[in-house]
Amino acid sequence: MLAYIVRRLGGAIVVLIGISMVTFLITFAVPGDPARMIVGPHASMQVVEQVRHNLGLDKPLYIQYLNYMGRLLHGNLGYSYNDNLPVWTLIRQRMGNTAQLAFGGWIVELAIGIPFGLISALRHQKLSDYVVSFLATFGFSLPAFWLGMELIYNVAYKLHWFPIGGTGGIRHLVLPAVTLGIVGAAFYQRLIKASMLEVFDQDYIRTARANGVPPFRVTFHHAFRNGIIPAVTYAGMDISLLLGGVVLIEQVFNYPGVGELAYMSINNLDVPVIMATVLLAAVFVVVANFVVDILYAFIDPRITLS
Amino acid sequence: MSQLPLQPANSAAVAAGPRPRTRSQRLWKLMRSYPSMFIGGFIVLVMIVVAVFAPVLAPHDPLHQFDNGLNQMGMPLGPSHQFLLGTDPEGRDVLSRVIFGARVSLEVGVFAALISLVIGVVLGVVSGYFGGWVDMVIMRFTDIILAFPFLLFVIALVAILQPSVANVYIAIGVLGWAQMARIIRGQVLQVKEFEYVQAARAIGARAGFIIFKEILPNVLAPVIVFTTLNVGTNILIESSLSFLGIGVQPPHPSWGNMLQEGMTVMQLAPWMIYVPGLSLLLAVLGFNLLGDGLRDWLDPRVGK
Repeated sequence: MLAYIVRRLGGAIVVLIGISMVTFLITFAVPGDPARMIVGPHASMQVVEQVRHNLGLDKPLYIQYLNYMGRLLHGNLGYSYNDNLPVWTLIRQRMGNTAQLAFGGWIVELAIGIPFGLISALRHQKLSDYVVSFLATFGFSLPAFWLGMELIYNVAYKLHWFPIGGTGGIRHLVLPAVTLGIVGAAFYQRLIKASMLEVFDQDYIRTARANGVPPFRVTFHHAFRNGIIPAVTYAGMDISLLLGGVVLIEQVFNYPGVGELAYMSINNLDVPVIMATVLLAAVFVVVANFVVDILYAFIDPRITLS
Repeated sequence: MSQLPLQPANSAAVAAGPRPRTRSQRLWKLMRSYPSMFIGGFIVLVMIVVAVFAPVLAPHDPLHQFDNGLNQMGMPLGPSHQFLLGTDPEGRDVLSRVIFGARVSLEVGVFAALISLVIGVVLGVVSGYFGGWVDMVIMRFTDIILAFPFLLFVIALVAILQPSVANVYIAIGVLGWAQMARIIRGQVLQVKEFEYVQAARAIGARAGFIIFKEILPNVLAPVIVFTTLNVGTNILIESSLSFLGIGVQPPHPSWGNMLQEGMTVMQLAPWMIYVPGLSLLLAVLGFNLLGDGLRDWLDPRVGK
């Protein structure tokens, strides 16, 4: 087990270093001079040179990268070009809101995805399976931001069931969370269906059935517990989906989270903020994947052997 | 009447019996077995026709601002005889803009998918075939790319590269290959062990020959399936970027920027969000159904 954990940790660290390199290199693709961006278009050449020197932009690339890494490890994500505040401060102010929204989206994913996946697996190749599977493909194809607008127009504006946007409690969270969770729900439907079908095909289930265990008990007591485990390992991919979605959904619902911050910094070409959100999201995905891998190995020790 | 004997005497029996079927019967059977492939294929075909013949099909110039395109209050008009799907806040014809929007969506969707295809197949084949440290380096790189939330990563890259249609499909294509590379690698690892590939190696065939003649034809099915599905995803991402203002730039129409324009006036002009939104949904659904159907037909084992 320890060897497995060490191996996984090594892999995660390599990926994290890779992520930092990619985000570092992308900032060099920015047309224009970062020093100029900070001091504004009217500053003299001398001032620009001074800022460049202060930022270490006149040093060789690898030195700049090492400096960047050093700052990252001290929790310094740089300063916003826009208002000179530390990027971390800006993100921290909004992180709670985004976490709430993502959690809400996750609940919606599971609340729809798991029952639909179960229906598909239990009624495999029957009408209800076809209907549910089509709904899943439909959910995959839905442009989330458009769904959000339709919900705002029909459910919030016309029916007045929920607020149109903003924050302020559970009621404000319902529509954005549903919008965010629909795509993931389709994703879980497929996962649960596939893994339940696999479990249903195994000997111990056949034995349980042959021994006359009632179908309900076979499904939930015997099969479901094993069928759900593979779905858990996709948590990293799921987080990735949720964090990509929030940029659009926070924009549509006027929701003050990190996604809206990313959107605003895109419009101002505030590179440190843009890259910090991308970097943090990726780090989050890697950490989640690592934790899930370890948990999975504890639940199912056969994993460590492969 | 004299020609009658030329027809098969027992034509009814032929159709009912177990004899080889005609082409149309085989097609019918295929349609019944894989309906989603045909429904998706039909939607995709319609979209291609609309995109290619947009100048012929569109009733108006999509950029023209009609003097009579707004009401006295300066608000967009609802559906009418002249403007079948209404007008937008600039007094332009929504139907014509949606038709031209299909062009951009298809262009970005297909070009980006082709870029991902080339990068994904090359890296996947090299990684799977050569193995060892090459495999390790490529797969680690793939892990790194997959760790980034795709949409967020594309948004950041396009914002930094400057918004334009070309940058949108380059960004989507250059960042979207990782899944493909992984799948192809897995396939190559399997195919590599087949006897005919081993035999080709044993008689000293070159790596290039084995890859192109023996391995690539055998990994074609997942390549086709994933590229089709990718086109749908890419269309969705293009519209998201245009919605955020970093994709297709106004006044040029894209379903995404039409939705953005519609968001501000949706209480008064709901058709502004229904029309481009439904077009987008239908297009993505078409590619997803086609891709899923192709997967069931070509290779039931893959990706299930």
